Amino acid sequence: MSNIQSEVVTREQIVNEKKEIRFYNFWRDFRKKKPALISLFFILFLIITMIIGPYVVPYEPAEPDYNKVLESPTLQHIFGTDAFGRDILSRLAVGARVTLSVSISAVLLGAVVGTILGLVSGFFGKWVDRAVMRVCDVLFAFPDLILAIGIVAILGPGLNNVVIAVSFFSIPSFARIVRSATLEAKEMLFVEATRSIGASNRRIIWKHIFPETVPTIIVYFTMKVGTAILAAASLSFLGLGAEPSSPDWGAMLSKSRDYIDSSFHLVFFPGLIIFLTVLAFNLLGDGLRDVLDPKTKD
Amino acid sequence: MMDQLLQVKNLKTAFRTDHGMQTVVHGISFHVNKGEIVGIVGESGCGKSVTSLSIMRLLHDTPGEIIDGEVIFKDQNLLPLPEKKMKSYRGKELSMIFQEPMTSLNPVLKIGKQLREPIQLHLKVSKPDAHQHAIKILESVGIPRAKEIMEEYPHQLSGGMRQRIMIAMAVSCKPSLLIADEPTTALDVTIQAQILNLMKDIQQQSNMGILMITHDLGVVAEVCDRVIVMYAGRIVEESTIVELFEKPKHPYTKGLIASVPKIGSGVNRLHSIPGTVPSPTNMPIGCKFAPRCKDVLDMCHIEEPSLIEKDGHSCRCWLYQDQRQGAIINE
Amino acid sequence: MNDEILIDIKNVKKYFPLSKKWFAEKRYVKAVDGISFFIKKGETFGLVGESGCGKSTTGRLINGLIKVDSGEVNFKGTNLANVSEKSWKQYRKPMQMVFQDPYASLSPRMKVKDILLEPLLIHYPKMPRNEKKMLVTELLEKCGISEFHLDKYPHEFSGGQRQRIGIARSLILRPELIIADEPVSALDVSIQSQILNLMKDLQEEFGLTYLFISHDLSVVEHISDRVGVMYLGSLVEIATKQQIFEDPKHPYTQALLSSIPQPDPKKKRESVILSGEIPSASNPPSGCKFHTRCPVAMDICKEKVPELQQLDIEQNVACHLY
Repeated sequence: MSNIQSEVVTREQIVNEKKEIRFYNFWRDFRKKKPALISLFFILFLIITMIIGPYVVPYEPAEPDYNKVLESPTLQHIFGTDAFGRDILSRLAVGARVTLSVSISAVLLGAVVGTILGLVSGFFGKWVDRAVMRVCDVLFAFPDLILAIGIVAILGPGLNNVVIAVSFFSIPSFARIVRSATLEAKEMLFVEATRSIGASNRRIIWKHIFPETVPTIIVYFTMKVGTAILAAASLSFLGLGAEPSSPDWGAMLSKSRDYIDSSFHLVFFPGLIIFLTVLAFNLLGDGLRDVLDPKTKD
Repeated sequence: MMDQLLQVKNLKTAFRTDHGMQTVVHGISFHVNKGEIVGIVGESGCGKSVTSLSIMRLLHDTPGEIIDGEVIFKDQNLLPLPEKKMKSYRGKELSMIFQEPMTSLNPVLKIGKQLREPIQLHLKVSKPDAHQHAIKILESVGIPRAKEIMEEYPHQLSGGMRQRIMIAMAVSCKPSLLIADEPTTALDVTIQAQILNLMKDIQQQSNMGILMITHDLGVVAEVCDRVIVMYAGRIVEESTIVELFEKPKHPYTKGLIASVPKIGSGVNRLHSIPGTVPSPTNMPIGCKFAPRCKDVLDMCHIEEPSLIEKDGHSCRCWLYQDQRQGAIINE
Repeated sequence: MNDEILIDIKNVKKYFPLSKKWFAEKRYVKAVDGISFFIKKGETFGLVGESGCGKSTTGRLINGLIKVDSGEVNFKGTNLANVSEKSWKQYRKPMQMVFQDPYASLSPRMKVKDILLEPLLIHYPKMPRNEKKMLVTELLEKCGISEFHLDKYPHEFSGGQRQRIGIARSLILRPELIIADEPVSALDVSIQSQILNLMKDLQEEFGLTYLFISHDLSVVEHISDRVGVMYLGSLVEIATKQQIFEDPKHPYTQALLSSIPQPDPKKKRESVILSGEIPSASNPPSGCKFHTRCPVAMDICKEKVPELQQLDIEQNVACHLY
């Protein structure tokens, strides 16, 4: 009797339950990864800053105040002021917008192109695969930063070109990792089953293989954002990215290096925030990998 | 009893899950006599493999844990033994062969080394002696070119060969009990026939006890003396092999035997047991087989029957037990 | 059953190249080495053999998942070996597959509903949505999966239920031929019999023709009308079920039959236990491929490949004994 009763559940209930369970399972596993969880909160905090930062900062980030030049951290300016008397905290908060949007859009661009290349070369194999992979090998042969500097040197400085440069060196890594995930997914029986019902290659790739690679892509994406922040900051530091006066973290660091002896806080806070952000993205990536893609864990 | 080799008493094993401890083996008791082949049959998830791992105390790689019971091997309860002591039993007195021989052989070591080590360890002989002994064992399990095989790696051999080597390893120290967990399931029929024959031969020569775990009633009928049928972590029936196939008592056993297609039977439809094995999270209250049973009584949904022995044939079913209790509730 | 031939396979070969070592002669695995058989409309043809004998490859050659090297696959008068990649789609509709591993053959990230809708989306993109939905629900019900489960994911089902879903997917396009590749060998006995019964019921209802590939002779005996026995890429015997199981002619068929453990302890078999291992398909023995293990091998067997010859009505054997 009890068995029959338990079978009678309305359909809506089942549908809702299933959706909840999938998310719940993910959240339950993820919650146990403390470093990743803290990183997630930190990143969320950064994103909120990105959105509301310019409206809530105590000082106008571009407004010079020549009475308070190079002031050490005080209660009014807890991160101190720079060579023009601008509040560093305000500049960092506003700079989050520049730095994060540059690096995230760069990785996004790289991920999209890389994923398409990876799917195509993994799925079709043969000469397509060989061609794509050789090009990737060539790109891999250059150190990331040198490649980016080269591209910016060709295209000219500026944030848009930084995005292109940074995305360029994330393409081969995405292509490679998606290709290997594709090769694995391609061999799965359900792909063959789908082919046997007459599905086209395009359908198999998008509906069946691509979803299999998504966890890998998410994980890799998060980790790559960290690298991209560093790269974007480095380019700005070298004067190839954001305009020196703009509140980009890398640019701030670059401008401050003359004062490293006298006013350490000028280098310290931008450096710290870059360090923490990169670390947070990497830890988040680690945590996501453990939960979403346990196979690739070493 | 003198000739009882292994005695399992009220063994309970549970798995740690997100919903707390989940019992997968519910207090089972049975024994294996010297020189006897006992089969444990059941479908996947009935707890037969967990039982064998519990006896060998090989659960540490799984979320499983033995929570109660005794495993008495030659008057010695194995469960409270320290791991170090247990190691001296494993491979020497009790050994085990698994379904997939590739996973139990180390892929980067030569066959010879893998065979030699337990022999050196347990029989305390020198390396050359162990080598000679290993070759002899390989020959005894019907491996041609034993000397050359000693120098080869597991991946160079076929599935049937690997299973022979596993058997050779398992019997190399002349254990008194061999636990075989689905030893032929991964093999082809013609190779399976070879391996089963080999196991019977070895058993007759050395008079060891074998606990054979399988889902295949055909294999059981072929080699076993006595059979234990398990369902949902419990023993539902136990009897001698002939009796079990001729006069099965429990409706599950009957259903299982009838489900197997028999060559030459000419039936158009097979008997089938409706439904599926209940999941551990959603066990019925009374008899665990009741929701699938065609002879189900009202009693079965209320209380679980106990395992009752009569003339050496045990069965856990209300059909063969005093149902007065049930009758009262019905009125 | 009538005598109309649905599929006729003539001398089909498929060699898979082995990765070539430098300066070595190119070698092949002769997965399918010139086999011929036909399947009549409405019957069940069982293809048995041990692992690596090429039975699964044969199934995949028929529906074009693997391309034929040489030979003909005639399906209702069309030679599928000549069909171009693009026009395959229309031929896949009347022949569908059921796979061995119900855990791997369903997309893990798709709902049951979507898995079943997919064939319809591919072949009938213009069919109205509720009509599609009705077809899906009706068929699932027939296969024993209730409507409640439409929004579940495959991992929420047991093996037997998944195989029911797999069968339902194969039927949704109303095919004529179902190629079932070991459909029950991953299932427990009690579930296996449920699935076999379901397949028989569906065959009656939809007038299906089955190519039933299995290593399990008892299952094949139960479901088939005619049986082909494969060994190392070749068919050694083709006959009706009665002929194969009551009077097997080829020594390999005899050995296979006697190797099956019978669930009857009193029938202790006087089995023909074959010695030796199955040779590798990349380096098969000369002459009759079975001669290395054959209990009655003669000298001629080592040299000459025996042809498949007719012994009796419907019984064909490839052996020098006859």
